[in-house]
Amino acid sequence: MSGARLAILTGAAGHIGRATVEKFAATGWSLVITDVSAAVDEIASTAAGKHGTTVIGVQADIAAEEGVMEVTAAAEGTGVPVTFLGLIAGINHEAAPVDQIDMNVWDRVLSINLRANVLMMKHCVPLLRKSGGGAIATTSSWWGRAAHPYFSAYCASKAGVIALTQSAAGELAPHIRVNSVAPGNVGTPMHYDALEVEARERRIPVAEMQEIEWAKIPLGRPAEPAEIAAAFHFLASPESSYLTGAVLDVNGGCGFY
Amino acid sequence: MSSENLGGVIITGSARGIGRAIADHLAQTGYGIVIADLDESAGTRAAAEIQKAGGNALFRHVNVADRKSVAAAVMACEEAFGFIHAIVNNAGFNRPQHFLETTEDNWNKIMTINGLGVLIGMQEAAKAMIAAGHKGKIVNTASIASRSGDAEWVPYCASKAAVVSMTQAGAKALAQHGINVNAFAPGVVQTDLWTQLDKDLMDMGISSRPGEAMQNFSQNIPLGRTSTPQDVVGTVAFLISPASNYMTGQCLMIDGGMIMQ
Repeated sequence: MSGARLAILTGAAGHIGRATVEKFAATGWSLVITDVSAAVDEIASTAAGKHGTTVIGVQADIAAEEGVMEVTAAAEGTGVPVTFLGLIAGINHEAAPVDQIDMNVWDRVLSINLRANVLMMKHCVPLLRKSGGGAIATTSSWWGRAAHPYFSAYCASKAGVIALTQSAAGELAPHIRVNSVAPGNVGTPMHYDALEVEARERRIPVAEMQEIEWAKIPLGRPAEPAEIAAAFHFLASPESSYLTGAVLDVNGGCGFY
Repeated sequence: MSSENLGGVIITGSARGIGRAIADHLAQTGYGIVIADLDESAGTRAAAEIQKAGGNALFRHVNVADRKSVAAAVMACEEAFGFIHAIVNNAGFNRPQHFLETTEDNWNKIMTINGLGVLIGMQEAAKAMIAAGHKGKIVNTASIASRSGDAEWVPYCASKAAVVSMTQAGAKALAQHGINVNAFAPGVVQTDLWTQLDKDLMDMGISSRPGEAMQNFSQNIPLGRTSTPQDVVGTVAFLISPASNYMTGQCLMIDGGMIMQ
């Protein structure tokens, strides 16, 4: 691909985010990366130094419109055409039966996982249009394809992401493609925390909970974050130029749809 | 490109169309290519053209429903290229008939090539990969017809739905051997298959001028155009590469957004 091009990536300080920053920086993309965590600045400067490409970190809360606008301002400030938006930021929550849900938790999960995505699309689509088009990739989950007990907010938000992806794909075609990556189990703290929490709820040892969950994975293991990053990279590349409204299920075979 | 031997890839139905485009692309990447096709003259020509362009390719006459010919192609792949890295089970055809007039013969022919042919290809390639201890890739050509039935070609739809189902079954069966099995689902692709289909639909009275049937079918594609074999190639390359190592049992839609689910 000739010419400078810029990608905006959210959730950049998480494990999938970091791996995606690394993959994009290593393949010549300029980047504006954002996260609530202050670590995003160090991640940006490390990637810029290592790969010799522009990487700007913006610590911001994209649940709020002001935070989103800080990110888009940073992107516009570079003068490099924005051609990709990677919406990776997402949170999980404590296991809770539906009759005991803390509605503040529900609101927060839906806000970050779903609402912030549409807020980012709202503000970034004009940038993509200005560049003559591009692509957007969201992060769903195998738990958005088929839901699990005790995690209704997470599952509902991730199912919502797929619907949002497809609505946007239909609207923004033909110049902006919108697709989703639906990871399965990824070997990150979020995964291991969820195992612990569910183990506690079921009153069984964590090791047994892990065995139960990993036995459901034909490939027998969770993904490396880099394997999820590879899917985002594919969706940002010309190799995927005829895909829109599609969901890439990168899940080791734990679910088929 | 490194000097590492990437091994060979068998592509069925690669004398023309999508299969040929995949063969060209993978040859450029450095894979040895086995053009496995019924059409001897087009197949030999394809292999020669790939060789002339600097790639490594050979032709084998293969009927995907004939296990012996598939097994022979696998062996030829191993002999020529050291080992088989992947098979793309792409051979398939359509022959539309009105729903109420669809015959057993039509059903059997289509299900045999499009369905059984994919199963045999998966089996023979997997056996070789397992014997060689190679964590290879199997890619099957599905279709938008896998996800959405159409009145004019029910056996084709059934066969392509079968491809998705077999991809899932194959993924479960072969995961323990480190072999990933996925499918890709093109939408409307400008190939000889559609040229013939367009003509068949005219003969059936469903359309009245050349190109009309394809045009009608393609009216609401979000990306605003039908696709060429080139549009499909990048996704197949992704599914054969290490970048997709954590994907298995999946069907990737490459259809310009025709079917979103």
